[in-house]
Amino acid sequence: MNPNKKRRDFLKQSVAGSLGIALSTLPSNATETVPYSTSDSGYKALVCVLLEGGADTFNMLIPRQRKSYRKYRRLRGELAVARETLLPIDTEYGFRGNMGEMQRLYREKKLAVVANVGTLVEPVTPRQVREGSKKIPFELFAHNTQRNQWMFADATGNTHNGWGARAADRLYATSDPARSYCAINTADINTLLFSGGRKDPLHFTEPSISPDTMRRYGFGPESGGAAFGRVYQHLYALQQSNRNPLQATMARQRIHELNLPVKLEGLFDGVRDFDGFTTGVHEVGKPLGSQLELVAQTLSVKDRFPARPRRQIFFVDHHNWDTHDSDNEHQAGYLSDSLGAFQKAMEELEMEEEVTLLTLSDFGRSLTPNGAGTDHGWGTFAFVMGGAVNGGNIYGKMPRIQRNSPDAWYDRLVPALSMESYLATLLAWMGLSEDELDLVLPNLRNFPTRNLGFMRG
Amino acid sequence: MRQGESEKSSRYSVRSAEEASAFLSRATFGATEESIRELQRVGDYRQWIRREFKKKPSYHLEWVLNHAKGVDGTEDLKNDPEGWQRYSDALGTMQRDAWWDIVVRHADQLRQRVAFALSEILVVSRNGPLLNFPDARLSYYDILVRYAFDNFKTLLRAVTYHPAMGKYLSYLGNAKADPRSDRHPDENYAREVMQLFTIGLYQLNPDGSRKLRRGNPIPTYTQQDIREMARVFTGLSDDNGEFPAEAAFSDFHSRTSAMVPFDEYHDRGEKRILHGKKIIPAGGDTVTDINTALHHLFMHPNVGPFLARRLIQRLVTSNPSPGYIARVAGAFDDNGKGVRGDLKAVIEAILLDKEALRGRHDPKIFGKFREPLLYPAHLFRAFHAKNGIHTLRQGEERVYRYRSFNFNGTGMTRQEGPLEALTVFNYFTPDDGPYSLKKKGLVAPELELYDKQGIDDVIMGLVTENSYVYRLFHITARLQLQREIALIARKRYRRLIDRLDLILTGSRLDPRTKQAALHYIKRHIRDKRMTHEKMARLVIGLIMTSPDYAFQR
Repeated sequence: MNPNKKRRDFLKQSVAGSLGIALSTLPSNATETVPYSTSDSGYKALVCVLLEGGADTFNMLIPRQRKSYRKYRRLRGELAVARETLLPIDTEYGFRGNMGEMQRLYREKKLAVVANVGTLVEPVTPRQVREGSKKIPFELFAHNTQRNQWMFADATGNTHNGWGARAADRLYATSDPARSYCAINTADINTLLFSGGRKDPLHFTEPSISPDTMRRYGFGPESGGAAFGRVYQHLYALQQSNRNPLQATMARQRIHELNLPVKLEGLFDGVRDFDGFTTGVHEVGKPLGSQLELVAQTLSVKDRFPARPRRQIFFVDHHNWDTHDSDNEHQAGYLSDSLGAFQKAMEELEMEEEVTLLTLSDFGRSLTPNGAGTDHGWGTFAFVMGGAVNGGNIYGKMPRIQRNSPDAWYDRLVPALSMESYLATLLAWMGLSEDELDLVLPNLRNFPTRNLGFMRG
Repeated sequence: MRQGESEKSSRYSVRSAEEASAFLSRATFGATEESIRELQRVGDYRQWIRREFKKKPSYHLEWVLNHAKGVDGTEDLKNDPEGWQRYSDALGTMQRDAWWDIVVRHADQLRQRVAFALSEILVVSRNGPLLNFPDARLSYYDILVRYAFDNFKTLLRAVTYHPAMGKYLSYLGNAKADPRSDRHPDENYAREVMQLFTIGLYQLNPDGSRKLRRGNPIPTYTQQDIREMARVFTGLSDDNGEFPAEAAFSDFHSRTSAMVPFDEYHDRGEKRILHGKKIIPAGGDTVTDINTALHHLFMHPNVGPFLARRLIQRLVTSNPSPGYIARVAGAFDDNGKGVRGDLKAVIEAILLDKEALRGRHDPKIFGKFREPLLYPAHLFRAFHAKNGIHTLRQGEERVYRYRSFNFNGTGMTRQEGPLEALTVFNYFTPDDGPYSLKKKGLVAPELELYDKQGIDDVIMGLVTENSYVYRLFHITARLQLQREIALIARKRYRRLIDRLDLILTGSRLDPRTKQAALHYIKRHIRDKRMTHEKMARLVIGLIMTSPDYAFQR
């Protein structure tokens, strides 16, 4: 190798980097992003917990005053949670009886409730929905379209990449190598939240980076060892330029995965272990506790990532919330326990102020029951947790749990707050400027509230 | 006339072993030396398909009943229906064993391949309320096997009345609204039978593209239609004499027999569905109303292109051309004899289409990724895996003994198992794909299951009979590699690679892949502790974990 050539390439790259050479890839009204502007240089992370299937949050936080409880009870019939079992958070509302951890966190002001938030194109009232006089999200009530709209943060159907990916692209300068370590998926499935960014997300399913399973089953001595592994990798490298874009894409993804262990070798050396996370009972898919524990473990080694990313976004997927034929007692209790364990882990790491957890879901559910459970709805409660949260408060106006009330269209809540306002509050805390928020959340301008105020500072 | 006849027959003639192998990768659970030879002997793809149509179906529930022989004092399952509940955990594993045995060893390959495809469209799953009911799941899978070559209307009806679907999508025990309370009928099946099983979200042209009105897609139904449709699916429960869902699934019979009407729980009012345009008149009983609603769905012009695209994706290619979809949809609409919904005609149209068979629409994008389950199935088939005696345990207790591969860990097949999707949306949806492909208007659904090394580590474990894996999971599958070993012994390396290329990929390996494999053999055949057998295994592994193999085309 010619050492001069190597040096020339290096110079070319660093010059390109300092000039922000990728300007052409940005929208014309954008300028090169300055990563999390100067005043704000510490570490921050968002942990997005998807309650997949559409969580019945109306059976998690329940009115407890005699009159409002009676209305709730009449409406929800056999699904109603007994009043005497509620865990009060104020004079008006209580968490259901097995959600003691979330009640505690609320009282300790580490947990906030966001009332009646959902997918919207523009502000709309139930009456306007009935009249058809305003734009509403397309394909309401369908799991995939509504979940995708939450992941894309756009209910018009015009955006096809994840808000997590767009935020990550804004949080780091184009040339910043730390961008590669910003978006992390710990779920057992892929997520659209991180799709379509400058870099693919990292996907860990256990706190280990070396291709352990491949060594154990595949590239161990019994299976040809390293020599075999080299040919294997060579074959994928060749197909990266296959004329078939499907084959080329898959080969590139595989090479990306194969290179990770090299770049992240030893990341999880010295990883912390935590008590208190449980794997639940009969969970569908990877248990929430295991995923949140993996997030905590990853946070415990955050300084070992190459280029030291100072903003990270995690994705966690809690399955089994599509409760058509049951109450969500089990899921709610397990969510509460898992969030409690996660907050304790953050305390142990002394990262309470730096890590904020938020919940997302496909949609809320029908206010009325169908005999055994509830059906697909629209507006829902969301929960935000962390030391930087102005907790112990409910943000937005709590909706009446009533059919055809000024908050509901038949028995489905019409969101009073947009997902854009909700996410903008969190992304502003992460350090995005007002201009950047408008770029990441294309419909934010349609809504009066840009910041719901549940984050401090 | 005669000339026309011969042209017609030559249209489907088998021209080469390579082409035959590629065809078998779509129509079976993977080509073998014998199945290629057999197809070449038949000489005509349509003839081959028609022979498959006549083969005796293999039923999965029957397999389990015939194989679960009691040990240590357990009764044979056949004589002890209570065993289904007592040993539901163990029998859940046995459901997988049945699947692996049937798809690898049984003759009715096309039927099983189509049934598997249908199981990814008309989804029920072990994950969820059916967790403890393996008999219900097996019986449901058999519905797909039984009606795979029947009429879609018959299939849709059988699926709708099956208690496994009733429980999975929660309309078993679904009562009409109670005027004294705010309870409404369950909307779950009402929605999914339209969105996922028959017509989809938007009105379609026959070629699968969306119809547009002022540039926007046109929804096939509204929330009001869902509410109406939910009223249709009231009054069904399982056949145990009681209506409420809490009483359901109490015995083997109720879990495996069609649901029955309880008309006093059925909403007899008028319902208007499909934008209020189809009217189900007042006064109908449960069965009349449900069958009428299913009829309206079945007659909807979307069903042809909707089902065509999904089945083509499962069997042939992820991105079929509009023309291909339209041709298959046409066969759905009319099988040539004026019959709508004939699945035999649909399957023939899919597998015999010029795009699938030879004159490919666009070779640059033709094909699909193999889903994880198809890898071990092909491995076991191509190398004639022998099975062994396996003792099934529940906890510490030994309960049943039977022959199987005992390759049943879903964890080992990357979260994919027969009837084990996480939700009714299957392991992947028809529109899934990495963003970079979607930007180009392309999809690659199976890539959702291709994280990390995909299933390559598992394949290497199986190919090499890795002692750690085999001991840990008590796998009994043993590959028969005499021919491959003999070729290595005779130093016929090129011949070996050509042979594997033919059987495994229809000779579609990149020449550079073959070169690399040849180079690998020559370089390592004299390594310390290398044997002919080990090398044969490594070469098979190299091909089956290659990106060339991953893409079926």
